Amino acid sequence: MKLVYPNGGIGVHTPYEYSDIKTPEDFEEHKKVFEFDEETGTGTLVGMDDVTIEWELEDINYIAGKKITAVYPEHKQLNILRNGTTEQQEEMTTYIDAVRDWANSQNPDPWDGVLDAIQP
Amino acid sequence: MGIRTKQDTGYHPYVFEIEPWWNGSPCRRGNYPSINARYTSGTSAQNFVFNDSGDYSPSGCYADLDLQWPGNSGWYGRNYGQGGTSNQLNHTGGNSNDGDSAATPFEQRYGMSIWMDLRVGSSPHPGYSVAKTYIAILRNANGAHQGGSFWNANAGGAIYTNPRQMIDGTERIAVNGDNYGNGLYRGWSCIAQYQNASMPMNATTLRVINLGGPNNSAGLQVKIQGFKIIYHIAPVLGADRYGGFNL
Repeated sequence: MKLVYPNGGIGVHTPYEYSDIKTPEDFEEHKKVFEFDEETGTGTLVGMDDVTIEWELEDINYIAGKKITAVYPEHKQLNILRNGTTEQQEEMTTYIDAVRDWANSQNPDPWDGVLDAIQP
Repeated sequence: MGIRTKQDTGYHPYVFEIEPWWNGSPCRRGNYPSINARYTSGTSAQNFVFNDSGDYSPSGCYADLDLQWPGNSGWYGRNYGQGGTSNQLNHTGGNSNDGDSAATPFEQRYGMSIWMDLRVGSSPHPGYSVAKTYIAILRNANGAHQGGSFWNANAGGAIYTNPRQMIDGTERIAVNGDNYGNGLYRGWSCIAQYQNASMPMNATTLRVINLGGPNNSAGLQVKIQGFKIIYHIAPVLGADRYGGFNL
């Protein structure tokens, strides 16, 4: 993920997996701009930065993978494939395909609610 | 503040170090960024100065490293080691509350060194003067204007001509190296030694940019296979010298 500032300047550029910005709330916190009194250390919130996130393919794939394995960890997928009912297999396939479709869609945004709406 | 049970003994200098991380663990031979050179000929790298937004993120020519541990300033901790003239060890006067007042925010008796293990180039044994490139080491500044960026900014916007250097002088550093087998020959390079410098409290990321160099027609890649930031703590109360170096 890249932090992108006005004029296209690229700020911190790190995989989502290792970023300290994991949620929209984290990002809002990150945008805060403080000015300090160097004598007292008192900080005053003076504004919010104009910055956006540019998601990269590896971020999307990581987030999608976590979304899938949160419900169907690999061992569970194998068990369902090996001896699950047809209904269980269809349910799992539907869920995984929906997440993968999201990951392969145009400019997926992990925080716009679309991914959250996908439930097993 | 750390408990100090016995005064007037010791006065030995000490250091501690932190290591920037790449992909979730410290830079090392098994885990390192490979950074391509921006300039591959002439004196562009040698004379480089930051000027516009693109200078900070040339494609494939930079890597962002994670600072898991803080810098050596002490705005809020205010629990200082011995050595400062105004920021004394809180307990020395027997009053553990002393540190709440009057302390000047910055401890000036810290020194700082930086060492890196760098592979430069794409082949072994190039000769000392051949595998030479220039790097920049910048930092972010959380809570500042455009705090996730590596250029300074104010309420009016970015100031691209003013990079957020890791410490003064890291805007452009010449480094030599070798790349035999991606790390079969290795060595530490001193980037800075006993600098009277501090890393601010709000730096969480370092950006290393490979600016390139004059003999760079093949594109001298830089691989960071080791990165140590060392904080030196002065040995004695009020000392302004450490190991023979002025701090």
